[in-house]
Amino acid sequence: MIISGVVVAMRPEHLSQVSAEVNGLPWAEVHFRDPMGRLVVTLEARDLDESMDRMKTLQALPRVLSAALAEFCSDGVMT
Amino acid sequence: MSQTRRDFLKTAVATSVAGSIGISVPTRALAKVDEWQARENWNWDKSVCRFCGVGCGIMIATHEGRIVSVKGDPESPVNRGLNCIKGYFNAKIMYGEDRLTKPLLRKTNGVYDKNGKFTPVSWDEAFEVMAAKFKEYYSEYGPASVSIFGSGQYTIDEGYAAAKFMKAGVRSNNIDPNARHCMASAVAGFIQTFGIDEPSGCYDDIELADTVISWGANMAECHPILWSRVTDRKLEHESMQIVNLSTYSNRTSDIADLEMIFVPQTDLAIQNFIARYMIEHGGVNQTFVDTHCVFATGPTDIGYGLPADDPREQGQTMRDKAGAHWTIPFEEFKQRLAPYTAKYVSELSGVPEEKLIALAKLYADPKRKIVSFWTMGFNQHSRGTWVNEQIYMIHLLGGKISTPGSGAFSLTGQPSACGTAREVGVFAHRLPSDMVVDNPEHRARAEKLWGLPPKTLNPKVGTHAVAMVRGLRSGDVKFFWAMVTNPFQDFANANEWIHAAREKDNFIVVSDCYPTVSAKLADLVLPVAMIYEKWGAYGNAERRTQHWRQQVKAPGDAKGDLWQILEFSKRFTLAEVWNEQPLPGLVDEGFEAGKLPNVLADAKKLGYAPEQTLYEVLFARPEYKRVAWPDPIGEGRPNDIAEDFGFFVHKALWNEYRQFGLGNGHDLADFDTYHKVRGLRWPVVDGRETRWRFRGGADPYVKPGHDFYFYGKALKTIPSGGPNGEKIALDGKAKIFFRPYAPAAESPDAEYDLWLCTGRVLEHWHSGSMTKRVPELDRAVPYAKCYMHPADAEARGIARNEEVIVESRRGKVKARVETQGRNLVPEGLIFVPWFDENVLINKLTLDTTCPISKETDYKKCAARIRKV
Repeated sequence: MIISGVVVAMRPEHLSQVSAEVNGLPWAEVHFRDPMGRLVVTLEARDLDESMDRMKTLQALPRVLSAALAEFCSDGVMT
Repeated sequence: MSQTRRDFLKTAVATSVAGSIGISVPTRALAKVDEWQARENWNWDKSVCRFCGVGCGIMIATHEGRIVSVKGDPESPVNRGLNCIKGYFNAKIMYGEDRLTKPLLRKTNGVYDKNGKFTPVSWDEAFEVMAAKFKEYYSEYGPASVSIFGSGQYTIDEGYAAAKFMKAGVRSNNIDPNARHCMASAVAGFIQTFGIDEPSGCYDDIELADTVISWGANMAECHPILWSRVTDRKLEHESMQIVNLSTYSNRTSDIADLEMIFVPQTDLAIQNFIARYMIEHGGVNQTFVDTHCVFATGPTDIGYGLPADDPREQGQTMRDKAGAHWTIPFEEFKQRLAPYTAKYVSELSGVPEEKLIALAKLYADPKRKIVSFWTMGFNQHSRGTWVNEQIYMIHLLGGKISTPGSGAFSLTGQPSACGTAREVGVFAHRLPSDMVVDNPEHRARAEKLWGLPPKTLNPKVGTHAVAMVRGLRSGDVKFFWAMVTNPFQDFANANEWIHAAREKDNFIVVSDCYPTVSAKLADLVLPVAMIYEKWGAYGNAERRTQHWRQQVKAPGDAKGDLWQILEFSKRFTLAEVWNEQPLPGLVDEGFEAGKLPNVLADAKKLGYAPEQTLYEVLFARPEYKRVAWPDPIGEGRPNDIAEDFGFFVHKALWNEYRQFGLGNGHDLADFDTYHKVRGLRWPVVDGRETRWRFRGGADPYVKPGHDFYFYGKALKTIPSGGPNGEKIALDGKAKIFFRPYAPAAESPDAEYDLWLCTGRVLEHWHSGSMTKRVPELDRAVPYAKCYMHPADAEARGIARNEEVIVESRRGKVKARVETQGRNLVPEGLIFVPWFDENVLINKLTLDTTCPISKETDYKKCAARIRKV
């Protein structure tokens, strides 16, 4: 089990819409919103491959400018 | 994992991310994380990433003697709280199942035997055999028969101690780092152009630039944190342009406005086209060029760094004087660029003319702020020094250098290629702080700082890395100690050196953390303490020096490389090494031909006795032993090496080392300061770091009243007008070189019809010694693939994922073919990463080097593919 902390960037006017879309994904959860246009998201994955694929899914969402990995927690250890 | 724990971890991760990027979070969430971490008793400390040359700051948590967590350091100006995927796994690199914990010596019937089996031995026995073998060769053949192959991953103190042991102790210049394979061309380019090593600008340029041009690099995979800064700049700055020049399409192209895929080796022709275009289209900053630059060139028949009897070296009359150069008038410079028209360069490089012109227009635009980045595509090149010089040619012509937002920036591949290999001078020709062994004034300065009798230091340049393994083959090199590196996987044409190591009369020592290819080929394996198991410092690509403290203890009997050097130095008395020594080929003013003098009488005048050990004379000096441990700076942290030797070895070495750089353009701060800050970029003068060197107002070495001053001292007196012209001094000037395109040493032909290019992938680092031990990274990319164009695969009847034989004139490996994915290669070229010891691709590569820098070209040779 891998939990990744990801910063998703968008234009501020798209915050609510993107936030709803991210929360709609079964493996992703929005935790914090920055009014400047950033969301702090965690995503769950079985392994690194799946985690990377899911990052790409976030990157590919409409109106998302970038999704950057910012924290990583593997096998229950925050690494 | 329970739902509660999973929810907790998610909150903890999210809270930590929010903290890193400056989003305020409810105190309740923070309190929850703090409470949990307090319960777990985690202890956080700042440190540095173990991997590439970007030099990200990380925070490390320890608990019960183990590293339990790593995260990006929010206070680090380099990565600002982010980490790449490798960075997150720093915590796991030390905990692989096959970690080496005991010295292993090849033995038969209880005694050393080169053909024996690895047997665990005590440190005492390991050093006893090692010293006996060293002395056996040394006493018969002299200092030229022994060698250390060091590393751009040595901590600064390790590199300094190793260089001091070899150069001042046993008087051998045969110490050279793996950085020779990585940065030597960049170094030679800096020295030839500016007279001083390392970049003038810094990472801050990224946020100030409006154009980023990547040459021969794949920053998205190999320098991902810097690339994330480029990406952010692109998102925030609408007119930002990004260009990716490469020999295959890679992830760096994902956000590029212009991608240029060129035929290998033709980058030099593209550079010349750009210069020609700038001159023709008003892209030259005439005032800058007239005031701060001269034009120069050098010989062209310089060969390919292959052995003298190779057919490609015949008639190359300047192969031993490849670095010679002289000034030329601007008209000659212009005339020699004349053949590099868009049409000619387009035909040569395969890049359409309109793309070449689009790129040249960016460089020729006087308003544009441009940063050019490059790595191994330039450096690992049979004309590596030239392509480095030519990127400065472009930036100097436009005056786009040493200016916020504009500069030519050489990225590094190893965490301390700059800080250790280059700044300490762990090279066969160097001394600390850009000094060289064949300069009598430099030797005298080093002898004074090291407390050595005159003429202790050897004036003859030692064997560079490639010459070292060729020496193993010829039998000239008998003792070879590899530290913090994996030479028998790293060197091109690997089969040759693997055979030499096992079959010749020699003694191979490998200090390593895991049983790598090199460890398995050794006669003696010494288990090492890894990065967070010792104190240390690295210097990154932007001249930032960063120190860290020991976090945990090494397993079993593993010991730091510094400990190993100091312990080994106890085995030598002055009488054994400072007496007269044979040195075949030595011809130098003040030295008897072929001999290093006996300096024991002068040593006595300095208060040394012949029976004293090198440990006492080089390391346990009175001024060293006064640096006490414990020290408040280490409060609450272990320091196994200081405990063993009874003084604060790292700090004592630092105090001495920094004397070399003070007032010499390489000023470093005192030891304690680095433990209170997130690194500092040298020169550090009056406590202030330097962001833009050579720039008035930004660099304390630029005299008042100057807007720019290229004050580097090396190679600044050169012939004018031609090779035999009158010598002139070029105070304060940089050189704009003309260099012609030259074909590769080996190109595809009827028999071997494909270019072979080697390199890295995001998940693994270098030879995989560490990243292959992290289960997550290993699962993500378990083996090296052979990337191939679908048409090339189809023409050979090969399916995707099929196992094939990849072979060259030198060797062969089996690998699976990949025709999709992250690297899309053009027809006629294959790409194979080199991290995988089961796909030992360096058996195929050619050991051709840049004749000036002696750095190997790993990016091009001829290969072919056949079905298994």
